[in-house]
Amino acid sequence: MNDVTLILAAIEQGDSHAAERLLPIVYEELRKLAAHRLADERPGQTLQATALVHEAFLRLVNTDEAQRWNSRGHFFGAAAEAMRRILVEQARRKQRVRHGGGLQRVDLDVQLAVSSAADDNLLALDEALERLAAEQAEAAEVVKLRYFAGLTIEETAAALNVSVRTVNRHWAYARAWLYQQLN
Amino acid sequence: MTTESPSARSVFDHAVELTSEAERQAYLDDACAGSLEIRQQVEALLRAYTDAGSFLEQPAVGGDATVHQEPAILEGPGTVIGPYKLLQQIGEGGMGVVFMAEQTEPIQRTVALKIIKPGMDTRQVIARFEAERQALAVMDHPNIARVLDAGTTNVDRSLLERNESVDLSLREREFISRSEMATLGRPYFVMDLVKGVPITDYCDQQHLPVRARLELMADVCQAVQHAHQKGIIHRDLKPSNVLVAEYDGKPVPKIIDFGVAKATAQRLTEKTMFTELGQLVGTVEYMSPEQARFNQLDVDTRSDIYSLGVLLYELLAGSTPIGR
Repeated sequence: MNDVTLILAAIEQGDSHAAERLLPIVYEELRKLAAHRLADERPGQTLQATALVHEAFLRLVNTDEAQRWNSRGHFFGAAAEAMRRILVEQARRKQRVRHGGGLQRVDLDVQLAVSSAADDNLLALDEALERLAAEQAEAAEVVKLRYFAGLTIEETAAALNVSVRTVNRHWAYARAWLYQQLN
Repeated sequence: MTTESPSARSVFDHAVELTSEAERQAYLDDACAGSLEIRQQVEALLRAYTDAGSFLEQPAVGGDATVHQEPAILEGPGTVIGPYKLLQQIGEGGMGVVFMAEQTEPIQRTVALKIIKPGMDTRQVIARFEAERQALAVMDHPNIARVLDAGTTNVDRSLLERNESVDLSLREREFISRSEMATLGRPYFVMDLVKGVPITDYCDQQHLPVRARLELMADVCQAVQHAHQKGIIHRDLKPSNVLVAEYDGKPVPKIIDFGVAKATAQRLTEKTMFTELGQLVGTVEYMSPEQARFNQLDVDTRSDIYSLGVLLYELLAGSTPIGR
């Protein structure tokens, strides 16, 4: 079993420190994959969050082993968090370039296209999302999985081990709440 | 908050699942009895929920994003586009921004110039417009504002050069050139400038009696009839596209945007119906059932008749038959 599979097994067994070890590995893998995909990308083609995350899962996790546990959920949770960090860092970096910090060479190894939000919007959204997490942690988690990892409602339900109905409820509330905060 | 009063979250969860407005109000009356604060919170959330449209429905990365970066609206008063000089912004809708513009050649006149928002394939829009241009040109009716011209906005090189001065990696440069291809050079339409207000607003402002409303509507119907006989379907008849202006003290309705809806195929797919911020582009209330199903192939002159019916209903009853 590789690292990630072991970590997932440890999380399953209630090892709370294991989750902390998962995030950096998933983060690195997603960055690598994204950079790799972008190198091959032709104009008009786009990178899909959901494709990246699923590919990272297949690469990092021994799926035969993982089938036995409810480990996909932990993995996708880490992947959503990693995607969020990558995008937020990227948006901050671009802001710095715009504000004059770009005189120093900035190495942009990963440059993901943000589809529906400009960078400022992404940062504002991220801040609002943090506030939501303080009040409604599960609703915020649903947003992370849906928006940053690109999971469907059904996949999100499976990852959080809750019903589709519950995900729909969180999703409706979170979208309304965040929209209100940002408008 | 006392322990007995329900949380805004739980009231919202329940209220959002109620489909009829009456049921919702009744539930809110009941659930928020005694707590105005909760009720206001929930009502604000419900409004946000309605307004949110497709907000967040596209993942941050990927989705349908062929537009890599949200391009800034580069055009403003003073910008010259072909033979047109933009004077001032006179409107903004889901589909684009409308400017009053001065045409310098071959003749000097003031026109309305609508720049379509990013996200549509410029070449396709222009090609579709060209295909219908001949038909549009033979439309000649006092109640129809003519579409005079269409084209593509210029690429603003200065913006790219400004970026160039910042030290960017190859990767980022590549992205700029890509977004240039995808987004710079957007389609625009030039139309007769109509200094009027939407027909519904006009009728209400002037407190027009039923007879006068019907007379205006009859003119509108004549105009649509004329267009249909020339083989042109409007596809997006609604109050904001039927403007009333006074000529010699007499109200004259003018239908604008003939040919624009078809060129931009704005109801072809759900994607084009929503702007990136999740605002609805088309106005569903005036949409015929076949259009609401996004099936462009099924749209014929009857769709316009349906929209006229909704418009007439609104002029007489004060609201659309199907609520907002």
